[in-house]
Amino acid sequence: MPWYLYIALRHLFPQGRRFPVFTLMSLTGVILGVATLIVVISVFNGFGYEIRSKISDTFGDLRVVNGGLLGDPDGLAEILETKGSVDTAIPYAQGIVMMLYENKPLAPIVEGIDVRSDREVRKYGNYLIEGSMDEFDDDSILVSSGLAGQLGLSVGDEVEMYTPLMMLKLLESDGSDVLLPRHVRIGGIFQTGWQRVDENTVISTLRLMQDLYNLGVGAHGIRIELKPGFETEEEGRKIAESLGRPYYAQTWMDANGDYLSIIKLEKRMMFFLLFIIVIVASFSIMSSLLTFVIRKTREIGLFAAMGATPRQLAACFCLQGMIIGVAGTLLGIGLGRTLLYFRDDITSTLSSILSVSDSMNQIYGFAYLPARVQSGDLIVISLLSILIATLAGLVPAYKASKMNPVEALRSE
Amino acid sequence: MRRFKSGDEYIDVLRGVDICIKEGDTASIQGESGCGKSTLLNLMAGLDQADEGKIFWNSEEISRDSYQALAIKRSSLIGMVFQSYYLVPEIRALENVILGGRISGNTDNLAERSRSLLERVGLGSRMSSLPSTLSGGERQRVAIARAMISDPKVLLADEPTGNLDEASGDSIMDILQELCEEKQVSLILVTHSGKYAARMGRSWILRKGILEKKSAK
Repeated sequence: MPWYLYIALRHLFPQGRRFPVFTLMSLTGVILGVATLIVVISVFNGFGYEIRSKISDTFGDLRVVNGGLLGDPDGLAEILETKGSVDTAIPYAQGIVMMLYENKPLAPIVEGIDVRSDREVRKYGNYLIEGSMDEFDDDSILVSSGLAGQLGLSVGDEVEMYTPLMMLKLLESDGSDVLLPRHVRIGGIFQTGWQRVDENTVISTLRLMQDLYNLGVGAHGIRIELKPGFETEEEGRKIAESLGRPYYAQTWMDANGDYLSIIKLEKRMMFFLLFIIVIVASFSIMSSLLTFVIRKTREIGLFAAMGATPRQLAACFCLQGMIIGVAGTLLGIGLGRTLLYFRDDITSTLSSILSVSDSMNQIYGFAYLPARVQSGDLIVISLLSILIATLAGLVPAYKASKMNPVEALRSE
Repeated sequence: MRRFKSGDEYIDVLRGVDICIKEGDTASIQGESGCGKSTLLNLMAGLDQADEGKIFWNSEEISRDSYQALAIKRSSLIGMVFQSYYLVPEIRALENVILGGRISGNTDNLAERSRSLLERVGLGSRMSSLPSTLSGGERQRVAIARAMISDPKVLLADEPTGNLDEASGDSIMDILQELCEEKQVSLILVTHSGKYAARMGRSWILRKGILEKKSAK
């Protein structure tokens, strides 16, 4: 071990003596900064992951469409299911209807799902907050929690549905036709945690949607779930190429790009805002090390008298910044991971102390605080924290290297 | 010559110094407080630079060498012992000695040589002690061992007994002389004590910036 590294370590962690306050304070700053960054970024990752999984759950990994009506959706779905990467391929139909309940109108988006697919039924079953999938048939619909709230709907209520097709027919008639709505029952109320879906969505059977839109056996597209390990964008491109025009594949990321980019942007902004803590900690390291250099002036003179070069003297103090950075980062990662491990206990304790209701569950539909520690984030946080702490040691190191050894030895 | 600025005035602290120390020589430099003894020692050690004149180490002029180059040469040629010991308080006695070897780059059998040197200076049982737990005499012995660990050619001792009582001072001087004799190291001793100066082979006295030969043994 080079002597300057040895001395740097001993200055920070002396033998047989109390832990120096300087080391403790500098370390604490870095530990808190790194731990806060890890906790916040991991919670952001967790939220992002949960929301992404909800989006991909409701949207599917891919949707194959042709810009119009698929005449033989079952045939196309069968072709798609022969592909190695495709787990399930299920026809769907989508459109807007006017829904009327006790003279209150709303125009939600209706998605017709194929109830022959167990997976589809199970998926929406998981999101039901009222009712049951057993109640879901061609005469009933599932409504999102937002929609149910706006219209005051409960399971078992009956609503009237008008499609644009019905209205067109009425306009084209000579006035003798009567517009008869389709009466459907509320089979369940669901909440996915994804606001876009929860706000204004109706799930019906594909048959009901085909009936409302007069699609026959047609559908608007095929929803694809990929097998694990396949890249969505890559597979989408391959599938579109294999089907040829006019088919194209839309990924769940394409369809929700704006929303996903906001999540990414928020994460980046939080990273930069919280990184200020580490920068503030680095100023504490710098000021402590500068004081330390002044306290150790005679020692610096001694090292010079013993043959230490200015670079070695600089390294001795610069390394102290780096060691604080490395130790603080490692301990910060440990603290951050511990806080994440006990995050639910901590949030529930805080909620009970502050008498705050479980708003997370109400707003986001999460019964727990989601968090995902990503190794990429850990590496970036660690490297930047160590770099900043090392840079903080540069000014004291420069001062030490520029000291006149004679004056340093004479200092009191 | 070494000139210092004091206010608007310049003071020539050293202005007539001509001294040559050969291998194995022992020499003392005496003088009143503030006469420039330590300045002379610092110039000899290459820690300070003369305003005029030349300094040679092993017949090689060092006056124009860079600070970095001087530091490298100094680490293998010169050992220094100070009145105030200057031990690193955070590390134990043995590690202070080892540190001297590490800085000089003389790391062969370093731990073993350091132990042996500490035993040689009578601190075999205090190797694991922190400097704060050692007496003044013991600290100076550690400092001597630290200076000798790099196998220097010259040992510059700046009032090494200045902070010690007579018995401890005598003991330190014995150790210094014995070690220098054993290892053929030239010893230059700056001291106020006539008794210790007399123990050196040659003696100089510094008066008003001029180094005068005092006597020959």
